[in-house]
Amino acid sequence: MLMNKKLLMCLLTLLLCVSAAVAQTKITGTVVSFGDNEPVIGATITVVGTKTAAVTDIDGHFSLTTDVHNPQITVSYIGMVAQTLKASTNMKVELKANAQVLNEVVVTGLTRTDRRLFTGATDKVDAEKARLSGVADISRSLEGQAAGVSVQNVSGTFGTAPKIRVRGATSIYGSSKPLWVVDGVIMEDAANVGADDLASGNPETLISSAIAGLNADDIESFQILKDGSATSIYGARAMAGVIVVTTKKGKQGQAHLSYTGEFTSRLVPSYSNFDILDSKEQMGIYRELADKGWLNFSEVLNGSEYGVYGKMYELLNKYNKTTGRFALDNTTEAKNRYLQAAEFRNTNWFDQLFSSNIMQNHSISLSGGTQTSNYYASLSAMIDPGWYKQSNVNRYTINLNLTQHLTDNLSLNLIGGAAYRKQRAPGTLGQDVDVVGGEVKRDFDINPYSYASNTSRVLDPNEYYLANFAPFNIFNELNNNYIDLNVIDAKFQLELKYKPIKGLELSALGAFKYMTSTQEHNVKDNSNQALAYRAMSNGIIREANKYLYTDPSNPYVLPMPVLPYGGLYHKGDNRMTDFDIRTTANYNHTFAEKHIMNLFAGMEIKSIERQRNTFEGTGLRYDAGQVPFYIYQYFKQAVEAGNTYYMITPTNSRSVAFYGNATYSYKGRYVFNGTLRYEGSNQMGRDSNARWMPTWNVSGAWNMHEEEWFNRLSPLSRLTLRASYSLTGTPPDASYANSTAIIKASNPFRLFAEDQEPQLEIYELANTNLTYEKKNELNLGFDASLWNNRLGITFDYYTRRNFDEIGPMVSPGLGGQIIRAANVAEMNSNGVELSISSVNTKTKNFSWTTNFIYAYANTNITKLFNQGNVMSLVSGSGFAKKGYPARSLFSIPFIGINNEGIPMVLNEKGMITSDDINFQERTLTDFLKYEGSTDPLHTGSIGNVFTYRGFRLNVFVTYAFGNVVRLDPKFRARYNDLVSMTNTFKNRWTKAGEETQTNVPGILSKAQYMANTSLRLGYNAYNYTNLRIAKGDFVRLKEVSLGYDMPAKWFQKAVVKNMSLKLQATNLFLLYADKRLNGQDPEFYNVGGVASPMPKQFTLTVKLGL
Amino acid sequence: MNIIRNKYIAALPLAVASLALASCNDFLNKYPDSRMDLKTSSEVSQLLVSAYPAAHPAYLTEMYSDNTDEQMHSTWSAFDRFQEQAYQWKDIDEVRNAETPYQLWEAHYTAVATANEAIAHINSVNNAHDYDAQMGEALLCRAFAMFQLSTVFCQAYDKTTAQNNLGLAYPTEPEKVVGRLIERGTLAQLYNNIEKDLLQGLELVGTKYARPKFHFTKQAAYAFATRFYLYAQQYDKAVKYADLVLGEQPTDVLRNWTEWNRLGPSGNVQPNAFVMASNNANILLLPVPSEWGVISIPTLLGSKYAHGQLLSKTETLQAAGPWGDSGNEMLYSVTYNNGVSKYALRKIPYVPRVLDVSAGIGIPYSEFAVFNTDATLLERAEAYALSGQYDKP
Repeated sequence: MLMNKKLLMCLLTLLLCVSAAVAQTKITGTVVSFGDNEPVIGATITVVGTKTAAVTDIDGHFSLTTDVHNPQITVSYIGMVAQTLKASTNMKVELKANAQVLNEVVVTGLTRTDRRLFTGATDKVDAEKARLSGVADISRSLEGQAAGVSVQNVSGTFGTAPKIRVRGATSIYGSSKPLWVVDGVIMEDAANVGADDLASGNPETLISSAIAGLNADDIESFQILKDGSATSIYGARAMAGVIVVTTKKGKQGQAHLSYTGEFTSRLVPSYSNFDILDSKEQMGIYRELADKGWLNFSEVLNGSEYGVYGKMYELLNKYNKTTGRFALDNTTEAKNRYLQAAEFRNTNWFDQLFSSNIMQNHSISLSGGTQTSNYYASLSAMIDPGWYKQSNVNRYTINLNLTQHLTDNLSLNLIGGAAYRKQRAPGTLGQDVDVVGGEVKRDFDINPYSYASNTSRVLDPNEYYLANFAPFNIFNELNNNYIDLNVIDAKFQLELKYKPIKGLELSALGAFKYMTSTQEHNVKDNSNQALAYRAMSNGIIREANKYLYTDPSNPYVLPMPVLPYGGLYHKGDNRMTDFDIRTTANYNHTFAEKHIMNLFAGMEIKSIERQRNTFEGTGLRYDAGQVPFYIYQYFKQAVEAGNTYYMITPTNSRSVAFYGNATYSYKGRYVFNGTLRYEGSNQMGRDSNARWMPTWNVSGAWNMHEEEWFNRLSPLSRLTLRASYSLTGTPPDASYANSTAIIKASNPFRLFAEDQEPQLEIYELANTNLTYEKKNELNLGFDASLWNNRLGITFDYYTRRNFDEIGPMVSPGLGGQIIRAANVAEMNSNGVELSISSVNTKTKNFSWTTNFIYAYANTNITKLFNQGNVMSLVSGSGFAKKGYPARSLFSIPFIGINNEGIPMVLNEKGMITSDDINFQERTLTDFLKYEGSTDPLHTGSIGNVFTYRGFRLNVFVTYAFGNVVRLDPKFRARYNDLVSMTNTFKNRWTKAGEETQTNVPGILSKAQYMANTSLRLGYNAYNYTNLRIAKGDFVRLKEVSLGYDMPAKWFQKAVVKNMSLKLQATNLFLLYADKRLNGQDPEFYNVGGVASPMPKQFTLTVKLGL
Repeated sequence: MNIIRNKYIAALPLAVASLALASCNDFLNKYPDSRMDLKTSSEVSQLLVSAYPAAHPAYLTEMYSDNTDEQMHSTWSAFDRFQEQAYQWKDIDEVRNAETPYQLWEAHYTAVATANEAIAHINSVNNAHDYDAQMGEALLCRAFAMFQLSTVFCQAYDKTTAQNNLGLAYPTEPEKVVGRLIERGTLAQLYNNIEKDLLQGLELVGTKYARPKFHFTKQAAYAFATRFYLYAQQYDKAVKYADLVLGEQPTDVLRNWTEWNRLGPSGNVQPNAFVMASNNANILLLPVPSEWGVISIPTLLGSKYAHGQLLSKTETLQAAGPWGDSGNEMLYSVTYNNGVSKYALRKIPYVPRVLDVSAGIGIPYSEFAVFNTDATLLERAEAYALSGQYDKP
């Protein structure tokens, strides 16, 4: 319960003074809240049967007179159960909090507005209730908590941000990421990772979460601002919604110490949930490969990678001089024996690479206060030994929030916090899309999750096989090839609030945030990646190994290693400083007790400087004193290839804004609201006419429950109708900031290093008409509650028109670019949101509450010159095409299997083919079959909470429907003995005639492949046909938790005042998912790198309060 | 609270606001990324390094011309759809190869845009005369790019028909809006524009470059002028400029074919030697992305449409001429093998520029000796021939 002077000022007071008749009874008393005996300020006392009413003052005292005989009074306050009592003098009324607390205050970050005066679409989420124990990143807890907010956990690795959309996508080429505001200040990302890249698994995603440094325990509530009316005060960048986070503050009173400990164990994934062949079946397929001409001796041994067959050949070839024999005899029996051992091996990679060790999260907070000051301080430590190898994270945070009332009307609020994270991740490089062959892959991928789900169970975990011409063993690689991440972020914030006259509050805020992250990718001397640079055991390998260097200056030289000793050291630093100054003035006054007026004005200056440095260190001898050994040929090669060995990329974002908001309300019944914001940003370049952008909003609300005739509409206890219309805009994505020509330095290509010289080139032509991407939005909604708040319903309908979106445009190309980006695209979207909360039963000891949330969000691109190529439209999270949702997935039409078992598809020319398809085709993309949107259309949750005495059982189910997901690409034209296949392969074509019965292509023989290597295009295309797609619909049992608050009377004499325990199971299982997925998680993109899914976990939480 | 203090404190945010308003635009003038402004003449020089077209139409024009025959053989196929469309004179809708009309257009207009950016900057400074050499180079680059483009997109120049043939849009300023349109004009106007830039550039251009063979030196400008005037049918001027290139003793600057021939055709030895910057025969070198280096030589790639044995023996490399049989008399050896019918001189290197070692993704590069002394000599000879002076050496 919040009681302070500010709230009082903003609250509406219905005060009708009616002169009483002659005989008057005086009624006085005090109203306090049950439990803590704090005075209730602003409670309404009405004499039953009359219009006489009074309001409690700052000490909770009230007094009124009436001439009613034997009067009774009704005492009521928002959020508390009203009481009707016999009136007397010196009464003491204790009001109990209403279990169904109506959010009386809407926090927008810049302002705190009385809910009754708020006309926007917004949702408040209580952090305590929403909190997913054992999940340290608070943004994931928002899943299913607010209608219209969809949270897709595209990767569960700590530090990666989930894909959050408020009301769907708002930009075609931009990222549609909502704004995070913490304690009034916008939280920036250290590295701007676009929404499409969140699912890439690239190492940058580890720092994509702006709030990973926030301790979940420090957060009191979230307020999600959804429509233009709520967000327009934030102007640009809030076009995709705002999530306002309020952290805990101290309260007046005794000091409280509270400790929370969370202990989480994550389940090791099991093969029963995956679709992978066991070793017996897989070996059967290897034998078929051998029969078909693959896997022969010299080809495998001189190839770049091999598995069990290659190892066998290696042993056959290894001669031991002392024994005079080879490691394996070259007889059929010996070979069969070797292969048989492999056949029954059935390695459980998940058991080998994952463990269910315990992750701990401890948090201590201290809060308290006096009449003039209050404080909140907290410290937390999260220690995670890692669900899979090389994924341990340690995070420490500290947070301080102090408020001091210097005088009656001057207060100072000081907030400071710091977080440090040390994290390890498996060594990974960026993802490659081979646009020509149609393959998405990542080299040297040792991500344990994707390794376990893609590696054959025939292999021996302790054996060294071959990859990239060098020995490979997953455990050795994980130990010698890893990324060390160190992240620090600190914030310093000071706010001064001054109330010179009644109703006017001025504030000035200054905030500074610093964030730095260092990513060191250590590739040690004996890692496979380093050894690949030196692999040249024979002449064939020497010619084939692309990691060796052939000096073009000397035509007769042999390929040589540029890394003769040591390993590699890739370093990437991201640094960000964020400086914010804001001054605001808020004036609130009620005229004639009927007309409530609130005026708000402010200005803000923001400056964000980011810098990204990368450095490629070569030849670091990790095992020999960390001293580098490099040769000049490495640099010669880099110069000839035009590569840089270090790079610095600074970016600056500056903005200035002026804004104002006026609210008028008649008796709290009719509310009118208007907001205007004028802001400028430097993203548009210099001296551009489009630098400044006004955003505005007008809205209104009708609080029907304030009408006199309202109680005729019982059982409705509250009804508010809202409408708003707004214009907002956002600067185009940073990669399109070309209002002036962008000229940068680069290295031209020269055949010989001695011809090299520096050059400047035009990176982007100028577009002086570059402007903000804009959106018009209409929002209509109502909030209703029935039966005295036992049933609450909130409903919103919105429709939006996005215009001036960045999109490609064909031009005559007289500047050298035929297709240029311009503000020419348009998109429409609409949707509905529904939240219902109902207290089903409530007795003295037992209660059952249900919360149901549903949202529908639909986007449709109305104007766009399609330039997405086939590859981007069929893979990953799809791409944009006119007439379809913002991100849709398409499929290559599958025709059938031909009589050789080869898949046939339709290509861009309308021909049926198995070997001729252009994955880079941009223009003729209409042949692709539309599968659906990759953003879910329907999202929501169903939560049931049962309480019995001190027990609390929470069953929380989230659901999402309407999106599609691509199945993992498993089919190729040529396989080797490392690959692992799925059960689908059991149904594959094996002989002529079967093509009428099956849709699964057969395995090519070597002769077939060599006769036409373009068949690989057909097989790669098969992975992206309509057969290899599944619905992304799911119903997930997100949380089942049982908590027990120990009764207070147990601790009356003890130091500990209260204690509670909670056992929670998170992500237990999917109640429904498309069968075609066969265990693939519908939310997770299995792209390797640093991506990993959200684990199934069990958490024990212990809470102590002193 | 004192009323007067109230007023001051209430006015504080307003004061801050108005102060900020005044310096707002200054504050927002900071560039969001590390783009740069041109400030010194050396920066303009560096910009001009990229003012040369990043494409050369050789592959396209060879396919189009009668230097290529269709070789009918069961295992010989076209390299890709582009080669097929080019040879068959079909509409070329491919956009992926460096020599497709799409990419040629973009590459040459990019060169023009870069030159225009430099020229715009030079026109905006006070000390324009310090930039004379850069202005010269920029004008020559612009003229050269448009000239190259005209060989692909326009009809051959003929004095009588030039006014009726379409020319090309000739931008003289950087593009500032998306979708800028300029009139195409006639071929005569195009040649006038090119000539104007050529002459002005010739006058201003210098010769002081870090890598002179990759820039328009005076010699390169003269070579360009020779070629241009030959095409423009002004033969006396062509001869005049050719003389400036070749000097009194042309044999001093011509290529030493014997030495080159001795190198042998394997690997990249001959092509690399051909485009060496240190070779005096090369006047202007242009490194461009191109697959021509591998398609023109006797490999299976693109073997369906090739400069085959018939052409070589009867019309070009090994044909009979006034000096005897070229195959024996000439100082070069033609490279060919028995697997395909492709006869070539290994003049054009092929080097893949690796972008990603692991993925095996790269761009094929080549380097053309766009202006060289042999070409200038032959152009002078042609000028003599077309102007009726058959007896000049």
